[in-house]
Amino acid sequence: MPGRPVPQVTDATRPYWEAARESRLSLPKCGACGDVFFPPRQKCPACRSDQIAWITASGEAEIVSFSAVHMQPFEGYADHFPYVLAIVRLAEGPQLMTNIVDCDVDALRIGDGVSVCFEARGDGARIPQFRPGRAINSNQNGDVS
Amino acid sequence: MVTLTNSPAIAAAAEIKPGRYPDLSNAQLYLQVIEQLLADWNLKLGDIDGVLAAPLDMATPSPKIFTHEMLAEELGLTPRLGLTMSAGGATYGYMVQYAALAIAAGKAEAVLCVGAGKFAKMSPDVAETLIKSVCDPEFEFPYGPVIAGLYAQYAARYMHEFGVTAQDMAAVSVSSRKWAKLNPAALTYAKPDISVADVLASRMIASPFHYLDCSIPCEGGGAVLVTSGEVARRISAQPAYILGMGEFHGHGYVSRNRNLVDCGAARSGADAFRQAGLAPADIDHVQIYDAFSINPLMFLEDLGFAARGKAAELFHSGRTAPGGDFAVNTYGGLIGYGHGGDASGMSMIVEGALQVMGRADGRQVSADRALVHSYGGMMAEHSTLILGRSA
Repeated sequence: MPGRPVPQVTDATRPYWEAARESRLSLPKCGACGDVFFPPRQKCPACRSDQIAWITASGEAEIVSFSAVHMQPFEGYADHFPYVLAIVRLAEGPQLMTNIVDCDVDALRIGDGVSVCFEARGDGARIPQFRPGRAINSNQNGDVS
Repeated sequence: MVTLTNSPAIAAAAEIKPGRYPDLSNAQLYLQVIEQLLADWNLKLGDIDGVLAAPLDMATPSPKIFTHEMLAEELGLTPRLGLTMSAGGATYGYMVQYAALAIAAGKAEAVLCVGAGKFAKMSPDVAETLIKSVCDPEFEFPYGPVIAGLYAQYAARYMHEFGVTAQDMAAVSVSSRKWAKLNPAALTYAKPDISVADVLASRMIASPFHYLDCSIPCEGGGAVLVTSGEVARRISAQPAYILGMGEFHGHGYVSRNRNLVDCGAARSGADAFRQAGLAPADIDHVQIYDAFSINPLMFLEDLGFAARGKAAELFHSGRTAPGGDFAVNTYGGLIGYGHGGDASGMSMIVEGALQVMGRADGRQVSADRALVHSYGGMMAEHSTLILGRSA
């Protein structure tokens, strides 16, 4: 959906968004203490090491909380209502904000399993989104239209 | 108990009526608030030796970071102490706290704390600016957050873990609206009472919040004068002494909070109780920041007034409403009174002070000791004040 916001990338977060362009959910992992963290930082938030490696996440997550939103956040964001704004916890530990897409809103519950998919934004950017159910295979298939 | 020297107190408190002020600039709104404070309490500008101000245009892309200087210049003051302070809704609680600390240290005698603001109508560009001020611009904004939807992350999780229901949240709005009927300044003063069923029947904004679970955006402003006890007793027959103050800064963005049922209010509350040498049972009434109806439930539990999941009983039973023995948000709350833009965090402080001073007119409650809780950001930074009739 080209009208929606495009992420504003910084040096620390560039690998995350570059991976997303290739429909991969990638997470920073500390080379010193092994902590997998989010959002990406120049230094590990647990031990302050700057030896940051990147891993490909499983794409599996669980809904921590969500809201069915019935209003437009800003012009052109949602083309149907409600849309779902959620926080999910990844199997690797970190949690992040997302929409839950391709879902039956009324059937959605906290604790539900969701898996990553990718939504096209402008300029070839893609952003991770999540939808109900497990990934069909482990390479984080699937784009949303 | 940690006693403050010089017995700092709120000596004077005033607000302008919440509403719309299309003919006044934001700067003029500040000056109107100050005029109101001076007039209500017969103060002279020469009495003021400190100015703490919230940044003019706080929630816009260009907040004015020298607002205290602008105000001092405008009023002809050359204060000993002055700062522009910004911590969202917690700004005003922190102003009272830092004014009290300065007075206790002998660095000021009478500190004006002031803020005013507009809560502009939600045109698309305003909505985007506002939302970007409370969410992570890189990792939350791309997902189309609305303010109600961000608060809803806390609310939905709280309901999930503690069995809190939509009826429980609705009971908060019902209680606030009853108080608003006793406050001629409240936006809903002349509106009919509402029931739990009315709240649940109002349109859904962002689940679990219905329209009547939300505070009412408007424009407003308020000011308090924090002075030494000695000065306060010359201004007011009954000052509101500052007995305890607590501050805590947690996660700035909701998705960073690893435990959504703990936003940090318990920490600032415990700090304030410790300083005051008091416990929740010693408090008569509570003024609590209520952007949405979930807030009073979460915070009353965080602050020790009810067990987890049990604060709703205080509302369902009528104890928090007029005639009850545990009054909450006696001015109508931001839900019934109005959410005066950037200055909303002042409303509960002014009301807590007026109650303790015995100046709350037709809504006066037994008010030996008040607890006032406010926060900034997405329930990220907390301020708790405990006020009382004797130092």
